[in-house]
Amino acid sequence: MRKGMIVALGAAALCLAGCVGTVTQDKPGNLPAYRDRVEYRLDQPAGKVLEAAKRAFNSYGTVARESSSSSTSNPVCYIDGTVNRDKVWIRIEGAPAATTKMIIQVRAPLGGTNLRLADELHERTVFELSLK
Amino acid sequence: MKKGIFAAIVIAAACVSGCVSTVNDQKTAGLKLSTDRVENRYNRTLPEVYQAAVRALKATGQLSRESTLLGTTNQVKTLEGEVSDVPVWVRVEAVEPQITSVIVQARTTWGGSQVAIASQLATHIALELAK
Repeated sequence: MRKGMIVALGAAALCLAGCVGTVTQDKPGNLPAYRDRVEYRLDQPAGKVLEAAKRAFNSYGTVARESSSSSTSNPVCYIDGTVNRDKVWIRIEGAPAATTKMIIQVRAPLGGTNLRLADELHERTVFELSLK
Repeated sequence: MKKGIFAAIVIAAACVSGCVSTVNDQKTAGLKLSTDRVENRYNRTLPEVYQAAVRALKATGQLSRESTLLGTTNQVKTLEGEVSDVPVWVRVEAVEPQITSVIVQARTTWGGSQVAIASQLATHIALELAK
């Protein structure tokens, strides 16, 4: 009986250990147990949204990495970094008809989230887009 | 006694499994048991080496992502892709203005290292630089 419990615990540990999926992966996968990301649609081309998002990110925190993916049909760019102690990942995906999908994912140091920060980053990006 | 050994094996397995750091400062699932990367240094500038790495990766496999790391003091660019269905990561770092380091890492989908693939890609990069 106890052996069975140990096996079950071991199997659960093996399943839980590993990497948390982020929106900067080519296939972001399913949401975790709680909602840690917000999706927005913007009526601007992906290039402009990327530049605006970088400016917005830099006004709140530090960008650690910029990347672009060439394996998907739509152009996809990613930005990740930290704002205060929260880790932030942004996925910017060009969609047909000049709209751009932007997903902002925020994770706090102990595994929580901060969706208010995601909203603030989105608002700042919209503001940066409105500037000439 | 047997139970204790069994529990120790389970705990060890849980500790060893999980994430392995990749050369682009990311994580991937797998086991860190053996060398999975090859490093070479060239007396060339970063843009030259980076372009050679892009050409080599496109010639030997598939390039899926290009990144620039901004959180480091040295200028660092990375590539991700696949060679013979094996995920590979390439880190191109300007150690000095004229000295550039290239680290090639290759791991199988199941998490094991594939240093032979990494070595093959590193050789291709060197050949592209020599052209």
